[in-house]
Amino acid sequence: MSVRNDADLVLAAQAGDVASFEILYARYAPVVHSILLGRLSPADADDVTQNVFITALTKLESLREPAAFAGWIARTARNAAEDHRRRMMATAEIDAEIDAALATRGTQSEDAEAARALQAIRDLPEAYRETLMLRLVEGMSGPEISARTGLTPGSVRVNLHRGMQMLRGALGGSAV
Amino acid sequence: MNDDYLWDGSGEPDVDVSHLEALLGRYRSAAPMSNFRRVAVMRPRRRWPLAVAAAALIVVAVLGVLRIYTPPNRWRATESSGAAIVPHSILRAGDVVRTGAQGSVRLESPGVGTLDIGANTTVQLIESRRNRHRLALAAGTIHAKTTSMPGVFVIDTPRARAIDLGCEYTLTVSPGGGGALRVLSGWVDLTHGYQQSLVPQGASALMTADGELTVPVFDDAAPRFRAAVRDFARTHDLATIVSLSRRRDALTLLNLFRLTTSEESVILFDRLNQLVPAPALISREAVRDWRPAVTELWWRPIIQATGLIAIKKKKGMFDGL
Repeated sequence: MSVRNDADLVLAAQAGDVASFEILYARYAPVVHSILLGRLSPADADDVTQNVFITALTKLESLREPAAFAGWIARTARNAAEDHRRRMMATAEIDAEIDAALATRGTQSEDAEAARALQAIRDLPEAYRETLMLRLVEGMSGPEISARTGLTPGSVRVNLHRGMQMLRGALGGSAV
Repeated sequence: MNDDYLWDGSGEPDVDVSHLEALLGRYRSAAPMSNFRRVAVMRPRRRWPLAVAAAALIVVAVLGVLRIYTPPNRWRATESSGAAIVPHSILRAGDVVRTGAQGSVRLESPGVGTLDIGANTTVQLIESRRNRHRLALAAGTIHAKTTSMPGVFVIDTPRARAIDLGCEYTLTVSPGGGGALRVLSGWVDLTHGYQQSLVPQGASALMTADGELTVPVFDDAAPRFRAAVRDFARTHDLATIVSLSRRRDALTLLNLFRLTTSEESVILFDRLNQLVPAPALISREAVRDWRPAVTELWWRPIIQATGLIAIKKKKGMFDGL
C-alpha cells in the first residue's frame, strides 16, 4: 500500500476527510511540538500543539498549495508560540513550569539535568534548536527530519552536527 | 567523529547522543490527539465564494434597479420594436419619439402609467412635472393607461387636447390633423377652444381636420345613430338621432345641445326627458336658449341612469357634475 503524500492528504482533508487530517497530525505533531518546546514550557507545548492543529484544521481551506503543508504548519506553530508567549508573562514563569513538570516525570537529579539540557537546546540558534529537538526529544532520524521539515538531508546533517557540537560545549562535561 | 548514530541511529551509539535521547525523551509530545471530527463539524466553511456570490448578486441587483429605475416624474422608454427612434432612454423635454411602419415604443412613468406608441407615430415630450405631464401627438396612434390624478396627463393634438381623467384610451391623429379618441375605461376630457367633449368609457369622439369636436357616442350604438351624431354639425339629422337613441345614449344627446338650434333643442329635450327625466329646475323652454349652465344639473342623473362611473375630479374641476 503506497504512502499518501501530504498534498493528497491536504486535499482530502480540505474536502472534509478528517481521517486524512489525522494522518497529517501523526506526521507533523512531532515537528510542531519540537518547535513549540523550543519556545514554551513542556506543558504549554503539549497544549499549544493541539491548538495549532485545531487552528490548522479550521483554516486548512486557506492553504492554496497543498504540497506546502509542512512549511505552513511550521509557520503556524511558530506564530502560535509567539502568540502564547505574548500572553504568558515571562521566561521565569516558563522555567517554573519546567521545574514543576520535571518533578512529575523523573528523579530530582534527572529532572534537573533534563531541564538543563532542554534549556541548552533552547539557547541554540533556531536552525540547530529545532533540528536537535526533533532528533533528541521526538526521536526522529535525520532522514525523517528532512522529510518533515523540507530541509535537505545535507542541511539536516549539518544542523545536527553543528548543533550537537554547540550543545556539547554548552553542557560541558558535567551533563553529557 | 562519526555522526551516523546522530544522523539515523545506525552504527555505534554516540554516548552523549544516546544519553540526551534518554534524558529528553520525557519531553516528547504526550498530549492525546484532539477530536478533530468534532472540530471538523464545528469549523467554519469557506465563506468567500458565498460572499463573492452575494456581492455579485447585489451588484447585479443594483445595476438592474438603476437600469429599470425611472424617477417619478420622468418617462422611460422600456420597450421598443421595429423601426423606432428614441433620443434618450429617459426622455427629456423636447425629445421626439418616432416610429416607422412596423415600429412601436412603450414609455413608462412611475407617476402616470404607460404610453404605448404605435406604428408611424410621432410624439414629443413637452413637459413632465409632478402635476403635469404633457406630450404632443403629431401623427399616429397612442394607447395610454394611467393611474395618475385627473388632469395630470395631457396629450395635445393638432386639433384638440385630451386631458386624462384617470383612464385608458386610444388616440389617433391622421396626417391631416383630424383624429379619433376611443376611451376604454374612465373618462377623457377632449377640448378645443370653447368646445369640450367629455368622453366616457366605451365611447368615442372625433376631431375633425377643421377643428370641430364631435360629441361622444358609444361604440355599441346603432351605426346610423353614430353616423348622424358624427355628421350632425353638417347635416343636423336630428330625426335619426332621436329615433335611434337608447337610454344609454342619453349622454350623447345631452352633449348635442351645444350644436342644436333653438327648435332642435326642444326636440332634443323631449327625447332626452323620455330617456332620463330632467331635473325639476331644467325646463323645456330654458333649453331654447341653451348655455352649458342650463343643463348642467342633468349630468348627474344621466350618468347614474346610464351606469357610467362618476368622473374623477380634482377640486374645482367640472363642478356640478
